[in-house]
Amino acid sequence: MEGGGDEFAIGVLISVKTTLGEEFEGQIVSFDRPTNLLEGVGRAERGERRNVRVLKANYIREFSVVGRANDPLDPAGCVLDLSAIHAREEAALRQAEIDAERIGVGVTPEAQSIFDALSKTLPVQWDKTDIVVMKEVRVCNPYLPENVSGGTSAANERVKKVVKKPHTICCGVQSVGL
Amino acid sequence: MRPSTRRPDATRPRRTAPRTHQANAARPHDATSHTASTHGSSELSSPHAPARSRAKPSREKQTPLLPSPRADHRFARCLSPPILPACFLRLPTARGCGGEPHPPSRRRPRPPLPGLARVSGIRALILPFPRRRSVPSRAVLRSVPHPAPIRRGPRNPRVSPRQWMRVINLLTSSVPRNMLKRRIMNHQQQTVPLRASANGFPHRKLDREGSGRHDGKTQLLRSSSGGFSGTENGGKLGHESPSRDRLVYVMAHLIGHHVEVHVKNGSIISGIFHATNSDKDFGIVIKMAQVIKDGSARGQKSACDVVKKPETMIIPARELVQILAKDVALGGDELPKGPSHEKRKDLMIDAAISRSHFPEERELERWAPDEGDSECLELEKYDRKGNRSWDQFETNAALFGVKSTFNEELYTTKLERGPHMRELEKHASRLAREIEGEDTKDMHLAEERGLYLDDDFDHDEEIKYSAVRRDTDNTKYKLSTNISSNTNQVDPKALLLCPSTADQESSSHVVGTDLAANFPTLNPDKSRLDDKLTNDSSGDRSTRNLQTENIISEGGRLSISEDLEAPSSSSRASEPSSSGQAKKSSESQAADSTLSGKLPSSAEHVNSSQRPGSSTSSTSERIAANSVACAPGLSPSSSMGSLSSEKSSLNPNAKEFKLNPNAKSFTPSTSLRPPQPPASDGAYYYANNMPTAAPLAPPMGMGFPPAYGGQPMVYNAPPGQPQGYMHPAGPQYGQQMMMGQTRPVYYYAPEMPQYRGRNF
Repeated sequence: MEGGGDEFAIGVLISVKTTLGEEFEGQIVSFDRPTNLLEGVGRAERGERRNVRVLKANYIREFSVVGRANDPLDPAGCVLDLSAIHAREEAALRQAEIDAERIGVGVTPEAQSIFDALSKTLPVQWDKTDIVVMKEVRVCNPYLPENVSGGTSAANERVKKVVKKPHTICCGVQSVGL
Repeated sequence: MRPSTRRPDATRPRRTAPRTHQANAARPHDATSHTASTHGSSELSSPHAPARSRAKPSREKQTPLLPSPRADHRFARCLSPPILPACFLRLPTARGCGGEPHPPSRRRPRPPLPGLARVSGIRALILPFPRRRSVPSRAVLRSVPHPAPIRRGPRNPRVSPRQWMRVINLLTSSVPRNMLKRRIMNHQQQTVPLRASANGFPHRKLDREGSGRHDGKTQLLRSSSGGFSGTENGGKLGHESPSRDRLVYVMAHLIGHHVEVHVKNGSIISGIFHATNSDKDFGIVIKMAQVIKDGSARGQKSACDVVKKPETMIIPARELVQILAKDVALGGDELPKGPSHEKRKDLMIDAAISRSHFPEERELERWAPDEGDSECLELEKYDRKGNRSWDQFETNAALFGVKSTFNEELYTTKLERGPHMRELEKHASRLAREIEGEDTKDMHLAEERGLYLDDDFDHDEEIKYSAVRRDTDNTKYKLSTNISSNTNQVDPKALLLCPSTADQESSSHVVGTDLAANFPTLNPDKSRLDDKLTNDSSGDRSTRNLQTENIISEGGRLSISEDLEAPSSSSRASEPSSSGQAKKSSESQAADSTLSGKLPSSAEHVNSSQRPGSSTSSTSERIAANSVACAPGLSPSSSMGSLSSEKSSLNPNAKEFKLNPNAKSFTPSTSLRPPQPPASDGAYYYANNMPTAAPLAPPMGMGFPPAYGGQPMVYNAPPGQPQGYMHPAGPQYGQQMMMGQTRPVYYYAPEMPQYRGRNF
């Protein structure tokens, strides 16, 4: 076991390098030998939210003890409110579903960026690989102003304008001869 | 294994008590199914898998991973009903391959169980600790066998040999009795909280499925825990670091959070943490997961190539490298704030709810007040007659000594309460009934009175109840024929220029309404206009059209401003004028004349006069008119008023106004004379929109924008005579604006064709 006794200690501040090339510092919350899982929390102010990391100790390449501190968890105050947890999970799932709907399946990131740009001001939906704006205007692949069809002329114009704008929002991918 | 099993077997004293105890606990199915409902012993007994997992590592180290009993207890308390599945690893990925996801530590092959004898031996082994007080190592082996599940066959997969191994080890090791007991107890205790707390959601399905398989273990633990349930919570067992406990706690806190999971091949998966298998080795389940970074050998192509739909992913522990979660609120000192903080986040905004399909239709229940609340809910107490039994004035006077000086007669007609009172009342109520029972074409009035207008199902709520003035279907209905002929001719350009047809219609609606309302004042003018127009209609249209357009637009403006105060009037006239502005068919003219026959009021004249004007063929005028009509209706009616009051036609032949510096300057007197009828429009306008500007004469409105626009102003003599009323917006010009009616005409004439913008 690496570090033997140290890893056992709770509250120890350690700096770890993993075999994946990551480095981080944190405070040990617990180390579970049977499963070889080390938990640490990132340094943050007390009471604030922190980053939690659960790392399999196998992947620790090297680590060093930086310091010692008190137990990050207060054993007396550790209560799990299951209902809150459920609620949180439900809310997260809901939000994730909503977000997922905004992501087109099998579309290029460019198309996705166009979709995102449109969705900032207009209600947009995916229809396979077509973007449907306000349920009327349709933008097909490739997403150029010429491919905008449908809807009232005003809406059409609006959508065309957005599509025409250079995609500066895209995740770094430039449209090349699309 | 064999020898050891035999040994205890031989020496085992048989007792009935443990047997019954075991028997009670012996329904594995019940055990697992009841785990959800009961705390304490059932919880303790259910996790069988943990025992197994415990067995594996402890074999080497014999280090009991014991949560502190207090924590234990706490967990047991918290994690109530949804008790988690025995082992979610029952999922195929984790288990189906036939192997155990544990690191390969199985040292010995499964010993074949030769049937009953062995079973009994095993039973002897796995016996839990029915009694705490005296648990000699031998006593441990008191077997309380449970019949059915264990009697399986040679290779009973249900009871893991590992488990037995562990127990055997424990038993055979040279551990002092106390320690042994402790260890086993620890072992017991551990299973409870871990299993209960780690998984966020009860996988009931799995529970049921797995229950069968884990019968053996169930009773193993059950019996053991049964004996110990009391003691564990209270007992002070060691100070071993509750690492597993903590792990589970942290994992539980992660549930619902967005996490990033690094896996062995370098990929990073992001999703919502759903569950973990705390029984075993903490493989995890992630929902709505997506691979962010693909570290597979296929290359470093970014996952941006194809956006995939998120799905639920199960990551077995052997693949797991790291779980990262940001901004997790761990317990401890922030506990009081924690839940509320989370709750704040969990408030669902309506848009989110309506967008997601998550909550299905709910059965709605009618609200019923609770018992005992009925008293408080009475805001107004009515006695039988319907008169309020509570007099606010009395109460006020009593409580606060406030005396009311309200005198009804100050605000309304004094009622003659005399001998004739009753007659008068009857008369009045009769009249009221008559009025209220009247037929009306107005939708709103009709609805109030309970009359049933022709129910056009196109009338959605907006048409019925919106406060926005639109072209109501009443007029449409009447003039549908006319409109249909006209609509054909509608120039799409005209529509384009007007931001929306509705807008146009609304303004024109307004126009019509106001014209109707204004007809008394405009009558003389309209007749003139009418004559002029009809006379000229056949003649050269271009200039006329221009004028008429202007007139219409001004009239529109006038009426628009008028309408601001005229609440609701029959929109009869609105339609013709509104459609008039948009249409340009010669037929309309003919239709107009027919229409004018129809419409009773003199607004007809207006309409008909407007019709020819409207039926211009020049797009530009119409566009201009449209734009004007579509402009926000805050145009100064003053100009309109004065215009219409004069020969409201813009006389193109009139002499253009030239500034005369030597003209006598006009200073307004302090007593502002009441505006004359022609200027009444202006007065209305100002009364409504600019109370401060009320005293100013109509020209004021017109004067301002040009003033701002820098157009030539009508002012005489040096403007340095700021006397009298100074309009807040345009002090300098204010005084000069107080001119007679004639002035504006000249002033306006040149302006009109050009000025198309807002006046206010």
